[in-house]
Amino acid sequence: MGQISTFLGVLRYEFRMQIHRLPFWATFAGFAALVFVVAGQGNWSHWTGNRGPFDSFSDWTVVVNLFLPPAMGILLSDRLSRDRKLHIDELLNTYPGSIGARLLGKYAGTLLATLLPMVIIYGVGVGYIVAHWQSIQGWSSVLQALPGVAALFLTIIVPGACFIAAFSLAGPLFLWLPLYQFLFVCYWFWGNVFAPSKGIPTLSDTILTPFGGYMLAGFFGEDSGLVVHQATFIQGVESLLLLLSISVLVLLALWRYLLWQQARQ
Amino acid sequence: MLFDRIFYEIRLMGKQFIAVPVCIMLGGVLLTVVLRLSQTRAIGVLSGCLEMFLPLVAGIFVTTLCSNDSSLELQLTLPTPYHRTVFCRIGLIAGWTALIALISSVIMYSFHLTKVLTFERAWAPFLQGLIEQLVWLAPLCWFVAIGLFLALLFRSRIASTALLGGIWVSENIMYGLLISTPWLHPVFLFTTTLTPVAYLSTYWLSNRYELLATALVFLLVGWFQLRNTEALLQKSGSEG
Repeated sequence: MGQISTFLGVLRYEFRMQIHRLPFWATFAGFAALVFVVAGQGNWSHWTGNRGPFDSFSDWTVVVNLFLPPAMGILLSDRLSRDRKLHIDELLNTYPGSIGARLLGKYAGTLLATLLPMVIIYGVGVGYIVAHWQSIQGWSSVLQALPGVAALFLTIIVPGACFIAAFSLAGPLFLWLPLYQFLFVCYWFWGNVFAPSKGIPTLSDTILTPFGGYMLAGFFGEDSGLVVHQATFIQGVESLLLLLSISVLVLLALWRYLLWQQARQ
Repeated sequence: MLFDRIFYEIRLMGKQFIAVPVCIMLGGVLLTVVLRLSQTRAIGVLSGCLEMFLPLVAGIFVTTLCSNDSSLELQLTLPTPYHRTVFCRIGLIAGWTALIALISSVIMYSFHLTKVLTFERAWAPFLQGLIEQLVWLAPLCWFVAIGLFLALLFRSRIASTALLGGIWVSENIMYGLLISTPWLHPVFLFTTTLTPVAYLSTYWLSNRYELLATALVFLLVGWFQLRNTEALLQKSGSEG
């Protein structure tokens, strides 16, 4: 019970700390403007190509999951390294709660806090799409497609967010923070959007892409319009499980590293 | 005195600021060699390193240094104006990155590894070489200026770096839109690397000048922001 209360306490604290940061919301406001402009230029203007509201929900999911994760990765990159810089970790190590519970609470709290503005931005877009399609196909068609929105968010956006959050917590402990941020920005483009036809090896056509192209094609039969256009259901499952498994492995490795560090002190 | 100050600032910044731009170009060279050995076209790699990666890393360094100075109150009591100190630091970052880019660009030009624009062919080789430096100079100045502006606006390294990163990713993904929309050309940062040669010559030079002009405007804004002592002292508390 002590570990659970530590976990929940840290989760609540990290969540509140993150959502009270003004630059956090300012950053997502900037990214929100970007995704709405992109959607207005691209998918939202291609109504004739979409057969129904679910196609538009898929396109909107692609836009959100393409541009918002870089913000998430960079906003989370200083959370753990900041504790070390301010020597808060030394103080927290004197508390009875275990490192594992604190780490998991920090991960969950910061992840949930960073997902909150993504949910808001995603919801605004969904609302706009609902209003548009309601006038064309009526409420029944739109309401039938609405549960798919939750499925899209949970199977495409959340696994990628878990993957990014794990690496953003762990990476800056081993790399200089500005270098990690630079490499992460470059990775996001190279590992998710960079076309394999350019000749340079890339992960963008593998199941190890947090962008979620395989889940989108495998689970919902939708084409992201980027690198991955088709996938089987099994490939979607493999991609989802791989992203979540790697997130767990990274957190486990981080936990062992922090334990080792504490033992050395 | 000036050299002492410069060496002091370099020691303060640390070896990472010096090593990273060098490592980026060396990484680009290594990748180019590997691709050439595997018979893959690699002309865009080095151009990309010059135009896309070096400016981004310089921008991130500027946001790191300028968003939060732990000795700000002390700096403000010194006879040297704080804006001069910050511009000295920015100048060191931009200058070192520019030096790496210049050396790399000259080597690339010597080995004919750069894109030749149609309007350049009639020019003297020296002038061609000079204009070629705009490939990296314009986006470098732009990222440094915008990095400074964002760092002073948000007083948060993380927020300003995230926005710089978002701009970088967006430009790479939306380059088709940027090429085909003339009114977006003034904000198209990676024109040389991402535009096909056939379309490049029509607007490349004006695009470079527009980026430089935008950078100058934001540097001026940054200079005024640095002179606003009261705003500087209202830090965002725990932001790193």
